[in-house]
Amino acid sequence: MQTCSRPIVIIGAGIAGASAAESLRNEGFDGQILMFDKGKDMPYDRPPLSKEYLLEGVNSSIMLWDGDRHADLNVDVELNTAIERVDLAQRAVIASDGRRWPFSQLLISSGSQLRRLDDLPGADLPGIHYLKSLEDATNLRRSLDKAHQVVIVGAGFIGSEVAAACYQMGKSVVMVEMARLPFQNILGDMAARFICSLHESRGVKIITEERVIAFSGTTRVEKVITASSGVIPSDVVVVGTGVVPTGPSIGKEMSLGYVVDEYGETEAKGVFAAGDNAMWPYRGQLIRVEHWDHAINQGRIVAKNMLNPQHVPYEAIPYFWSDQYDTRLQYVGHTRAWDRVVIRGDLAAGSAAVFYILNRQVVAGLLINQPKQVLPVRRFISRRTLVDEVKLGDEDIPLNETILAH
Amino acid sequence: MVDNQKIGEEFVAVADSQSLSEGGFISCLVRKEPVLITRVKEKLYAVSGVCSHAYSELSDGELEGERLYCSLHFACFDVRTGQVLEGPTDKPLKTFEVVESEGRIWIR
Ligand SMILES: Cc1cc2nc3c(=O)[nH]c(=O)nc-3n(C[C@H](O)[C@H](O)[C@H](O)COP(=O)(O)OP(=O)(O)OC[C@H]3O[C@@H](n4cnc5c(N)ncnc54)[C@H](O)[C@@H]3O)c2cc1C
Ligand code: FES
Repeated sequence: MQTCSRPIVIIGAGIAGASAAESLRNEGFDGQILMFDKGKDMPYDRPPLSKEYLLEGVNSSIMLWDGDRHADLNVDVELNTAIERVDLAQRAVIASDGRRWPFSQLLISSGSQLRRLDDLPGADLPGIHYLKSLEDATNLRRSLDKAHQVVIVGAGFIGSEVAAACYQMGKSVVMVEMARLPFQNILGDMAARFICSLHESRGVKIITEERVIAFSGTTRVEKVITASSGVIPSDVVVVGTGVVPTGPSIGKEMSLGYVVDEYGETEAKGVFAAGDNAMWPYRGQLIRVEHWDHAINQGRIVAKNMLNPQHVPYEAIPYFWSDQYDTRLQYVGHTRAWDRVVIRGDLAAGSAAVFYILNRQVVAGLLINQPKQVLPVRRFISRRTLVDEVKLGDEDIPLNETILAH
Repeated sequence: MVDNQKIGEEFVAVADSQSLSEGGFISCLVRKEPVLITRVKEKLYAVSGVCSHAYSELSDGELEGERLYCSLHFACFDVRTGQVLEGPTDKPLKTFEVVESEGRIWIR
């Protein structure tokens, strides 16, 4: 059969793509793996870009595949090559310059792209930064060298981490956020207020319910103009207003992500998606998760299912962490709906486990400087444990004794 | 963290035996290096106290039999050998020699 000589193709040498390629080899696949990335770098880690990397700069540990790692893995990597379209009938991927490569099976792990503010007046002024790639981080770092006033547009996780890093570099930082309370939709009022307090207690200002409408400056950005006619002086602007899925056209609507089943496979047989761009079934709901742990794990599961069709369902509990100032936040689970929030610990003192509960089940948990609790809480969620909410709120009662039933 | 008191033969006394119960772990510094000591099925094992993936302290993690889980990205190691059992790294943990004598735990 002709397909045997065709490679497994991976679009995107990011977190999910690299994880899948490594897993294919770990699982014993010895055929050709051909990987494309539109960027110029071998796989590197992204989370440090808004944390250590901004503070400390070049650090070789940021590369996931340094030196000859791709050669050791025997993966052919084509950098600077954007794949525009997938020809499902001929089973080939097609680059923007028209070149095509056949595949036996395909992983689309092209991740997400940043929402941009390109339509605003002054959006092309130097000093306005976005943060997604290593190159973006290097440029931002350079620009921050001489900056005093930093304005961050969007108080999401990346915006918050950049704010913390800039504060630690001695900059004066202002965040501008459209919502009434950042993080409220995912974390609820109390935890959201706690995160805001991390910034505000250090003098990092958060302007909420405000929209940026323009940037101005002569040769570089100097001012950020907001809808309520506020003018915020700025030497550097960092835009962190979220991401949308990105990737090649497969002849179907994908603006909400590539829909996959529990094996990571799309409707087209042998065509998979993993990471930021995959819409996958989690507890009866299709969701998209834009976090590192998910990208690693879904990439790994897809590799197994490529070699052994419909072998291992992807049943991970979503997880992410975020480091801001001296606070480690860890969030497990996924929910936008809960009927109760139980706080175990002392939120004001910056050490607590926040439980999101629906029908007595823990559906998500936020650990604030309580790393020891993350694995137990993850177990609660995966076992659908029913809890006694009153006991749960009492730190003196061991976690085990708060269980009503599994 | 436990006091550590240096005694000849390169072995360093790091803790009292009774401070480490079955299935538990303690962390200490041995020549400034963080070390995690576990007692599994009555035997002692000592591995690096810092995850080989990315800096997280393993004492924040969890021990399940021989399996030691890191709390940051959930790498899992075999405490007997330091080998990676699952997770985002393939770098094993450094291991240390550990003995128990005169009611104390010693590390080299
Ligand atoms: C600054 C920053 C900080 C973060 N911090 C955290 C954190 O603390 N915790 C956490 O859990 N998560 C964090 N994340 C999120 C996490 O890094 C992502 O969820 C993860 O990288 C997603 O992996 P992926 O493989 O889906 O996409 P990516 O890692 O983004 O990789 C996708 C790759 O595909 C390439 N590509 C895109 N389109 C094409 C195309 N058409 N053709 C060829 N190549 C293409 C891109 O160049 C890219 O290299 C952070 C992300 C960023 C940017
Ligand atoms: S630091 Fe331990 S798994 Fe990442």
